[in-house]
Amino acid sequence: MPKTAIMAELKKKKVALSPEFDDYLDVSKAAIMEIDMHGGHLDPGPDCPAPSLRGKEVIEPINAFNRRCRELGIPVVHVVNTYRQGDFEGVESAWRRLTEGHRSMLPREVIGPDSPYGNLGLENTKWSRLAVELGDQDYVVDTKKRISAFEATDMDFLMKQLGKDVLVITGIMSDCCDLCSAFAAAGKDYKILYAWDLTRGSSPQNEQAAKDIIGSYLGLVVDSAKLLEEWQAQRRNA
Amino acid sequence: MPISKMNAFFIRYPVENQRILISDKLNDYFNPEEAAVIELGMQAAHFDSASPLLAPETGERLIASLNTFNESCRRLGIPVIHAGVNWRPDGKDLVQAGFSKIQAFNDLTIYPVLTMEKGTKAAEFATEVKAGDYRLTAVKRYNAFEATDLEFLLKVLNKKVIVLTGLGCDCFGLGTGFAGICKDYRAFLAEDLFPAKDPELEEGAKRVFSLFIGLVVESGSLLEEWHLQKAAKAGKGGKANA
Repeated sequence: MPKTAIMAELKKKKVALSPEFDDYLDVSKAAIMEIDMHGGHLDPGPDCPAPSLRGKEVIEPINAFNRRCRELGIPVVHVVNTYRQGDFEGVESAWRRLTEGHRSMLPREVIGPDSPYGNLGLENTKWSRLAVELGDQDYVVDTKKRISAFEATDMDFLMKQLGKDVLVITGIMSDCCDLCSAFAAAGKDYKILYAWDLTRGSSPQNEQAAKDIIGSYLGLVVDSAKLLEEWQAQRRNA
Repeated sequence: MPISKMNAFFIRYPVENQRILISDKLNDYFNPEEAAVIELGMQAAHFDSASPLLAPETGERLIASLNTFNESCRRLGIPVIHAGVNWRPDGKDLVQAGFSKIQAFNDLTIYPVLTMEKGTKAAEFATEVKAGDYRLTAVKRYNAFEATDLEFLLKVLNKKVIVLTGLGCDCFGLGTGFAGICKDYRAFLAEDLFPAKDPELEEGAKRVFSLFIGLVVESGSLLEEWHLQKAAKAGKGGKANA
């Protein structure tokens, strides 16, 4: 039975969790999978390759959450989209093909200034550097090449080595990398907790869509503060 | 631009009716020789009159429409891959399955249905499976690439473009679409041939697909484009793409 009154949310309704989800809430099996909180989306400069204006809202809340997780002994994994120099690894990403392709069809006043997508996640640049705090004991998975945190990375390997099968998803973007990684994780039978308040997407509407899809098919949509309360209660009772 | 000047559902920038003419920078999406259809979730249990996932008339219409589309694809030489689950009878495929637990918790109909064990009528495909089609029957989760030989099959068929149809664009469609494009397949969602399992999630699924996965198009437009591409290649005109 959960130690607290933590609830899961679906389509804006909250439901209390039953004991059958004790394994989802088990603090000893959890790891934080924080996605793409890096300069390629969050650098404040005007040359940011793929700015996530909404993503900036969760930098400090994620920092605060991660600090509490470290105190609780929960590993924090920063997953970072990183490309080798030369803009050859990212050019075939579907989102980039679709976006660049269709930008070419639209007038300048609709699409705005050019975006240097080729700089996104470039290794050894500010556009692959974390925009959140990096703890001494944190892990970094920095071979993400596409929108899944699992494709071409050692995320699954790392989780197996750590003995963790509960993935808490934070970061950006809700309707892109978070949702894709949630599907990938669910396909590998990870128990998924989606800390919705620590994620942001392309728009509030699409954030809600991602939340509802995850809540319907893939995992539990939870509030990060309530999750921390639950874990702290488990630790106190251990 | 595609020869037929077809359009796709588009929301990244404001455009009229949320439709955009497809750019010639995406011409490589349209070569029929590189395409394969992956039809997801079209198994008998999902259309069982005792507990159908769709209203019976809607289900029958979907099956008929997919049969027609698939036949057109066969005539164009485009392989049709019917993807479905065949659970092991001992239940081991479902021990760790989150999808059934999550849907049960939310009082949602569990999809895919848990009774589709290997060898049962429930697991048979509801659409016509014809000679030359492929069956992918090891699907275990919403990502049809996970734990199956789908990627192997596409490689040996030398296909780089996946056209997703079936039932559940909000689960199978996104799960398989996301996985496919992470392996650099070019992807289509046939918007008239892939309803959501949950109608309330269909619009959101379509929006996500159009932003991050692939082209959301009408199946009729895609068939027309493929016909034109074939004709162009057969030498009736100059270059294959305008």
